[in-house]
Amino acid sequence: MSTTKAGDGGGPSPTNDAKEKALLCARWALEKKAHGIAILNIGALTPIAEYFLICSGRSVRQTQAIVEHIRTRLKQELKEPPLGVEGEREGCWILLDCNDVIVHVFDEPTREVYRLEKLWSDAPRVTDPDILEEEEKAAAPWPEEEEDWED
Amino acid sequence: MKKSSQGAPPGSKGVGLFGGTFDPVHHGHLRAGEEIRQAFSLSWVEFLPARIPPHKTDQPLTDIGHRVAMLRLAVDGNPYFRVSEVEATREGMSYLVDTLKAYREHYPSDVSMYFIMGMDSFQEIATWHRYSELFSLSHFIVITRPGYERPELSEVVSQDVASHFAPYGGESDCLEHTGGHRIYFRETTLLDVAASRLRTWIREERSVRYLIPERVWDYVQENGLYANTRKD
Repeated sequence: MSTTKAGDGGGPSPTNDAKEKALLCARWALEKKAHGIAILNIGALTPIAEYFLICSGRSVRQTQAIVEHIRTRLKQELKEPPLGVEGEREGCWILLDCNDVIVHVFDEPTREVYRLEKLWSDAPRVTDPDILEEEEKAAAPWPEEEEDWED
Repeated sequence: MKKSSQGAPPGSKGVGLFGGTFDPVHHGHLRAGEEIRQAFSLSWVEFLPARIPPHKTDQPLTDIGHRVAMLRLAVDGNPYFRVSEVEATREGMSYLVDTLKAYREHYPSDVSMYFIMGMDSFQEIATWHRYSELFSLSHFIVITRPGYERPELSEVVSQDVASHFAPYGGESDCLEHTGGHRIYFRETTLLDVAASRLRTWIREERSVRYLIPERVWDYVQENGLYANTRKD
């Protein structure tokens, strides 16, 4: 999926770039079956970043896989390695600093305890219908036929 | 232990901090942590190995790096168990009151903290630095062996501290502090394991298999822990 915006008239606006990056990171997270995607526009509230991407994995291995995938894709697609990562070894709350976008990947108990969205409830949420649709598709399908359970 | 609404109002969030030296961690610790986690519906239990300066113990403790490594091996695979390195990474003396303060500031205010400890430690709590402040920071869960008769609180802490507690009417074996935190006394499955005995057996080259997780036993052997009298 190509993302280059270079050469647009007077140059891309930083906010649009950050939003695009956040949406891309969300798509990459979904490629690893992340759930609970939330994109918060925090630019007006803090100088630390323009957007938070928050998502969850069902296990530490999955949270680590999500972060690894986003990191790899960022390098490949945007030629932008993240500035830093925290909490990767523990895997309960991994923070990936992508400069204007900060990605938070939680396991479920940790997300429930910290409820980052509540802390940032003043931040407008970004909803993207494509992301919502992909998230539904990525969710584990409930088997309709009994034989789906059979090995 | 029966699962019940004991200990945590429905819908509330709690995390457990299981304090100890874990030298080494063994199945008694792990099983107790699991039972408490379930009984109190804790989001997770974080094992908190204490640094404790060597001059305060009769026998020098194994280096905290090893104890943390063994804990990590022991909890691997249980998504509800964590290992805290807070006391391991702090320079200088490590006091529980400072650790609990740091955690209290770190967690959202709607998350309750439950410090889990053994009865042996609880009976010495009055010797801990600024111990009376502990009860304003966290609930306490004191784990006992079945049939163990717990002492009166006034035998364990000063009269002044004891006077701040009253029996908690909602449940048996629970005292409530005027500040709102509670001390729960809970029996956990008796696993007759004691770390001191494990250390002796390892030194005597007696098998401790099935008393400690297999990966912890591998680690002990690979690193030659407990084999000789430690000098550090």
